[in-house]
Amino acid sequence: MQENIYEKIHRILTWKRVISFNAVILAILVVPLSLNLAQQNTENRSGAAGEISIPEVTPPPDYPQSPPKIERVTMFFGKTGDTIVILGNNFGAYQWESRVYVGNVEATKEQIVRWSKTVLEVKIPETARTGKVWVSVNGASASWDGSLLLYDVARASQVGLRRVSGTNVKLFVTKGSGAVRGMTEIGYISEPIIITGSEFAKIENQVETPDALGKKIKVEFSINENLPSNESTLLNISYPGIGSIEIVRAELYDRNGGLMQIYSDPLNVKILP
Amino acid sequence: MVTLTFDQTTTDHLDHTPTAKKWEAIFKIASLFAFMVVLGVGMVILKKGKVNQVTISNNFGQIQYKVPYKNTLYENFGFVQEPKVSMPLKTLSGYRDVSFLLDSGAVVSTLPLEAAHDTGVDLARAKRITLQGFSGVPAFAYLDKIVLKIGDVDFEFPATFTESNATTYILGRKGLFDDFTINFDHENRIITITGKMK
Repeated sequence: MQENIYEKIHRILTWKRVISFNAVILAILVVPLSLNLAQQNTENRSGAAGEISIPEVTPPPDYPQSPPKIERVTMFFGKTGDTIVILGNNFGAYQWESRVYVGNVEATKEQIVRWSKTVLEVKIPETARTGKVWVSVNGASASWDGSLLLYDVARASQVGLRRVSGTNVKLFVTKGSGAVRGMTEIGYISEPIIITGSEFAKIENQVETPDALGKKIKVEFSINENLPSNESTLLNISYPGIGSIEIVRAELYDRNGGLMQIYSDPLNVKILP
Repeated sequence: MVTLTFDQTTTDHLDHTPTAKKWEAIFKIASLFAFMVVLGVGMVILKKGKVNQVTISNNFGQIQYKVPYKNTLYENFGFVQEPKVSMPLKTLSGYRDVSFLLDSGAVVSTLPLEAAHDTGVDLARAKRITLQGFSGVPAFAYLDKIVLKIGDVDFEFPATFTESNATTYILGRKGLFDDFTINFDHENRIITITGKMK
């Protein structure tokens, strides 16, 4: 008797074989399926880890034994209402009765954003004008060497750094006509750093002025009377190309010895590696 | 006496099999592919339950913007659902799709400093503020505005441009959470932003 097709299937395809076949398919597909599920909707990776800061309670006055010291004021320019950061030490953990003066005006408690041993964050008061920044802690005071420059974008000169090549940067000025001399402090990481003048600026003095926050070099220069109003190179900076380079401070003076209004676009203050 | 016989074998090979046996054979063949069928059906059902792309609807002056959650693999936490939305940001060269993290814990929207250049924001005129980093060193940020297109409508939101290198594009509460209702549907993995057209 001849076996028909259904009987043949029924005989060959036992339930044991059907289950085994499915098990093999599952075993084959489980790896790509798992990978696909794991990778679904994955867009990026992050090494960040959260931290919770505990609010501090102000203890009674405990002023530092040593007098305060201001290392840097950043940014060296601003408008009223802008925040500046004063970096130094011995400011005390809290303000208590200490005072800070910005642009010759005392900052009110509301204008002090943060007070810590080494960092003060202060809003430039409405009545402030271009001038000194100093702090008074427990009867001792410390003043910043430079001047905080208040500016009006429409009238002020602009300074900035622009990358020329991997190891060369230029310090430029726009709307700088009328300036006869100037100075700048350039913060840097890698050495050697070589700063040279340009057709518009001649270097008069150059001295390294490192502080607790890092290396910097102070350059004083005289400016050619023909400095045009459009972007002009003042200094050429050559460095190994490692680490950042930034303008810590800059000043320009007119022929009457007056301090000119200057500012810098935040995108041009620092050259990142 | 005449004996009448017929040859059964002629019909045996055609359909001698009982119906039950026949169906069992068919069922066995179907069972060979049962796993794959179940898998396919499961994937279709899973897919149907998800919003895989942004859907925007404007009805009676109401904008509804739906977007699926996205996963991020964190080094320390494994996969974390990330409420990221892609929205057209107005730049000097037209609208550019930008992926923002919807952060109800952030006061204001934050963008990297370089974005100011693209959006035409003059940082020299913007108000300068400070933001606290994890390390305690303050970072400067500049307060201005950005324009985002939701549906067909332009909305202006306050935003800060920060100099920190680690800055990602964040949409914070100010502006967005004031004018829109935002629903984080964890179960269906959908974020729905609903608001009125201005």
